Amino acid sequence: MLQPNLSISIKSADQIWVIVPAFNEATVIKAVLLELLEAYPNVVVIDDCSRDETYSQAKATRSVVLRHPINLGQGAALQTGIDYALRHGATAIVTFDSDGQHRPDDIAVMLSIMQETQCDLVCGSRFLGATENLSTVRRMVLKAAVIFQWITAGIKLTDAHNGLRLFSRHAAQKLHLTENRMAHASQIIEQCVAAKLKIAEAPVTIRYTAYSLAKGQSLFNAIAIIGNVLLRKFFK
Amino acid sequence: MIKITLSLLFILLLITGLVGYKSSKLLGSVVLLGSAVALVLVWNDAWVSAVAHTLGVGRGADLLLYLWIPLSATLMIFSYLRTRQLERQLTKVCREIAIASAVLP
Repeated sequence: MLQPNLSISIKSADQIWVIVPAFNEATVIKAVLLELLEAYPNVVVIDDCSRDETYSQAKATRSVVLRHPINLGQGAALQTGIDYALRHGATAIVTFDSDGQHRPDDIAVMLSIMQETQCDLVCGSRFLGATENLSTVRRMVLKAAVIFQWITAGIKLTDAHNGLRLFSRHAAQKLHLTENRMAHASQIIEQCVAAKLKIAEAPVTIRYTAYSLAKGQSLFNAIAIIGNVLLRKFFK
Repeated sequence: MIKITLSLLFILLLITGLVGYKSSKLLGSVVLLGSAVALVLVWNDAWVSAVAHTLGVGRGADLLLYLWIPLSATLMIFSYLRTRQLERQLTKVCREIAIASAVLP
């Protein structure tokens, strides 16, 4: 039986913490953070030991900046940011990509869905919303990911690998990510389903630029993710 | 010459098993027992053939291969689990360092 959200109530933007994991995003990170900070005062950047100027660019904004001493992966960076936000009293936590693919405006849509449905987790879905410049091959890989997630996690979402998510504090407290790299996306859903959390989806827009496409996941990464998910199933 | 080389290898494995016994009794025992048996069989290869025939395997070398496959798979699994444990510990340490060193606006 689902355990519904324990009365989430957002009255001001400072109850919301936006977590931005970043690795080698010096080109765009400052613009992404400044756009977020216009609406959300609590933004936490986790620099995953970038080799470029990501750290100094992030420090030049009003974000809280954390830095891993070694490169661990996006999953590890997300958990670090979530732990930090929880320790500082966050009521709701948003995960937001640092490459400029996400729009801060979509966070408000997710918040209203969370408050209307009283769910614990809102997952952004590009297939309910819109995408700009999504190739056919990438669309097919994402659709395959949906089917894979349905088989492994027992839940059918329309977009299995969207980095834009909104967690209630209750949901964030249930997360204990051990997948440091890209298989964390599957683990997040698996842990939320196992905790019997209420999950909803929200239409969001994903902006694919030449920059973000160059940094996106290759087909090889998709195969590696499948391998990690299966290993985790076997060796709990 | 090959027997001497193999003997040295298995003596090295014996020492590895003794050293590793403290951190993992199971794995250490497997390595110790396997190395000891292998060391004996290197100098008594007729015994391998006899055991193989008893088990319905044609050649001693084939029997060793059949035994080696699950043994090496077991070692790989132990190695993977140990690496995963170390990675999780390292991640926790790095996380606390990052949070303790947070740069505030």
